[in-house]
Amino acid sequence: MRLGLKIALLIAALLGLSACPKIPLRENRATFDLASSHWFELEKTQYVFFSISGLRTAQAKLTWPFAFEISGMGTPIPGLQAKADGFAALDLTKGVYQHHFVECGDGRICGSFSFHANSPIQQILVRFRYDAKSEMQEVASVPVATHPAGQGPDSQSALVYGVYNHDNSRLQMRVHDNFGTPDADQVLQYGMNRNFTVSGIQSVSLTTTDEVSSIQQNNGYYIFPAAICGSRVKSGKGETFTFGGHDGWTKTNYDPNEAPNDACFQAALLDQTGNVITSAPGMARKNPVLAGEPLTVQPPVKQTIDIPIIVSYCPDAPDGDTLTNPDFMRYQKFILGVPDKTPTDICFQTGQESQFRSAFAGLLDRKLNAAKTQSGSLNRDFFFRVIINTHNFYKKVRQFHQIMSGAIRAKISNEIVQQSPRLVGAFVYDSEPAPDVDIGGNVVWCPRDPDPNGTSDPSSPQINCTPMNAAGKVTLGPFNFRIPMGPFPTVDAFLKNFNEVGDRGEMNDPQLTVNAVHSGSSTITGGNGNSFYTFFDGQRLDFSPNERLKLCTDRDTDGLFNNMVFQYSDSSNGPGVMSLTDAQSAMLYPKGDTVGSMLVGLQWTNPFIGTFSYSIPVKGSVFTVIPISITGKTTQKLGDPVWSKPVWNLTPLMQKCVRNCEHPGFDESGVYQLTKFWNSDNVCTTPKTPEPGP
Amino acid sequence: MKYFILLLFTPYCFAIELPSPSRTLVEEVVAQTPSDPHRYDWRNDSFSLELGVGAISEFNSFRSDSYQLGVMAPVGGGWIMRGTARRVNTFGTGSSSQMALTPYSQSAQPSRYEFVGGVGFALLDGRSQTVLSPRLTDVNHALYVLAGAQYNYFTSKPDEPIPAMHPVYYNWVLETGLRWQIFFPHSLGFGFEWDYSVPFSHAEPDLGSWQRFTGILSWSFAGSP
Repeated sequence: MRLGLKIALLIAALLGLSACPKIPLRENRATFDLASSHWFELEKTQYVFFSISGLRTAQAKLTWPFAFEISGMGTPIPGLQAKADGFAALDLTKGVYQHHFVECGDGRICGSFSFHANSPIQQILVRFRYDAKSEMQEVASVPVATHPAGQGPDSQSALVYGVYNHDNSRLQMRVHDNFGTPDADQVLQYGMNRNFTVSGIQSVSLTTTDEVSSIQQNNGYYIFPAAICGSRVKSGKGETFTFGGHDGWTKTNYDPNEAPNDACFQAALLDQTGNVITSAPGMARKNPVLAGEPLTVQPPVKQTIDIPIIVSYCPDAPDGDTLTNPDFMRYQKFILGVPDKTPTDICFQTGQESQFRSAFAGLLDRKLNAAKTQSGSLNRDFFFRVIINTHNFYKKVRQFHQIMSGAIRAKISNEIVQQSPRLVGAFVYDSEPAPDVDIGGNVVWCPRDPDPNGTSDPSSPQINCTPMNAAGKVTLGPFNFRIPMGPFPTVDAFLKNFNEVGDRGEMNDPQLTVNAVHSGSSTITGGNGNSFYTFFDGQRLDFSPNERLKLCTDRDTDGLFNNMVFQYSDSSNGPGVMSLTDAQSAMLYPKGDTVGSMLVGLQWTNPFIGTFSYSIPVKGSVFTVIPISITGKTTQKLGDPVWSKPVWNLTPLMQKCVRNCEHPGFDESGVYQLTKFWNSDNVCTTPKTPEPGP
Repeated sequence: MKYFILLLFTPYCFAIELPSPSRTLVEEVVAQTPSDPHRYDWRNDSFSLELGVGAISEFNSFRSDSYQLGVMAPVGGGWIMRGTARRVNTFGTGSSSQMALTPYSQSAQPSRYEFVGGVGFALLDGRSQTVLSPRLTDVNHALYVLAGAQYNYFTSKPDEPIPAMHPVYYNWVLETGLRWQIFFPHSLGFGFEWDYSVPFSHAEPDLGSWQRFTGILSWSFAGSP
């Protein structure tokens, strides 16, 4: 590189330096985000609250030499010395109450002041100086609210009430700062501390009538002021106690079981030097006393005794060999767990429909009667497993399907309303789709619909052996097989796979298990004739006087309550079977004061549920639940897995209140819900109560 | 082409040989000296270790001091490689303290650690001797142009590390500069470095650029002959 070029570069760099601009200043103007003043006639005191935000971090420290000043726009602020411009340095020690500045957030300083005023100063300015000695400043005009004297809660700046700890043995006094602006729970962060003296604390029992009257009188403030306590406070008796800020615990230990469930007292607001500014009665209400309610039910579901019925087109009839398929028959037996050597029970052939009608009905009778005799005292319900073996038959004659479905339905209809043991349903494994058979909710007919594509698409409804209901097809099928060579293809699909692939589709260990809701003397028929209710033996909810119960539907993630019904054990107490909603209402708001005793029951429509399990070598175990019980009116209930739970633990789903059930309480975050009573809804919360320190 | 710039500093006389790297003129200068044919060449070092103290000028109202440890190694021809770790401490000044009492602030880089890796090239080098007797010095010297990438590490990133400071947290910076290095016999060396830095990223308002002046004490380790 030529030296000249090097020197030129060097000079250029130095020139570049000289061109560097100075770094500009940034402006960080702070703003008053709250400025509010309140004058209370009862107290003859005016309060000022203010906060300034947008300060730089260093400036928002109490150690920073900032300054606040206040001006009454010509009216002197009592206790403060105004300068020539009308502003006076805010000397917080001159307040009626104790005040201090607070670092109340990033870049934010909060403060407050109070002064004695017989009438409100209507125009007030607050000024912030970034530095006490500089002229850099921000000014805010402070709106003034006046609160005239009166009997209502608006006339007092501090509303004192009491709350109890978890077992109602200790009483805490609390203050609701009644300014509105700032919010009650934010007043402390404006650095105002007021002292209160509580005296004459008396345990009392207030009636619901008293409380309702108080709510109406106070226009939603509920217990402020607690006028109903005015005559109940006895001066000179009970504990006297002073606290500052927002809350303080009294010293007295109370008997959690004592009868009075409320307390009355007199609360006085004190100035810095201890002089009484105002005084008003206050009240405290004991927390609702909650308890668990143990309830575990075992749905009365027993495994059925299954009765296999093998039906085939008669092989000896003309074309009989082409209208049946022994390979598929073997497969059908394999799937339903029927031994391969089990003979065909009955056959049919074209032209002998009427003979078959009577013969089939007679067969069902004989099979059921034989099973009942054989089962003896097992007291288990019965379930038909029907195999129909045809081939290329369905499209020719459909009457046989109608005959068989009609006979099965009729038999079930007669049996289902009887006490166990009885026939509860049937599973029909047909060879070909039977779309127009009328099966009803207690029969699963498989395959159900004709396959429009002539294939065995496992996702198509005809392969999903779902029961039919009034609404039409059930999309959430109990036998929704989604595996290659599904176990329930039609005979066409079976033969296609068998002939082309040589695969019989025989998975390992297929097991169809059917359970039925047991019906006994405690089973009653619902009003619409389709629902049945079985009440659990000995399962009841007993209530002592004044006890209430919440059925915590918000915790019922399994939907157990959806299948439950209730009934007064003494029928003279109310209507018959009650839904969840009606029962909840009866348990929270009983006629009179006592709920009494409630029976717990189960609601069902189709009395059986089934499970089909099997495994295939590659994909491992597959387990399918057949929820073909319950009403069958909606797809959701058909798919309800709740019936696979052998025991229903309802204990965590219930919350019992044994005392003070009409009282407010704490929510789960520890906030006292002053106007929300325990029995006002059925949401079950675990209250977080305050506790006194050691 | 040969140029000589003769700088006279009582009682020293530096003779700078241009251009570099040519030893011809060094030999001429050596030939002109009456005695002590000592000849030192930084190109024969294996590496040198450095200690440095510097001051950063950011064109704002804050002050920054810099303390550094470094290593430098010739890599052939006029080229060197260098690596440096620095601690930079930033302070307020009377000006910033006054500014803090106002709603105004100014952008600045707060205290940090800096790690620099880069290269340099010797634009000039030569040999100087005193004319006094006994001779106090018999030195070689070089002027390097430098370029490197700098990574900044901040132990914390507060909103306002120093009152009135609006902190700017650059992570990566391009650092260029010039360095005048004097090599004494027996490994000792002194240097003076001026750096000009520009961040790869931008902030608002941006610092734009800043410069640094650093005095360096170095110790060289001889390479294999």
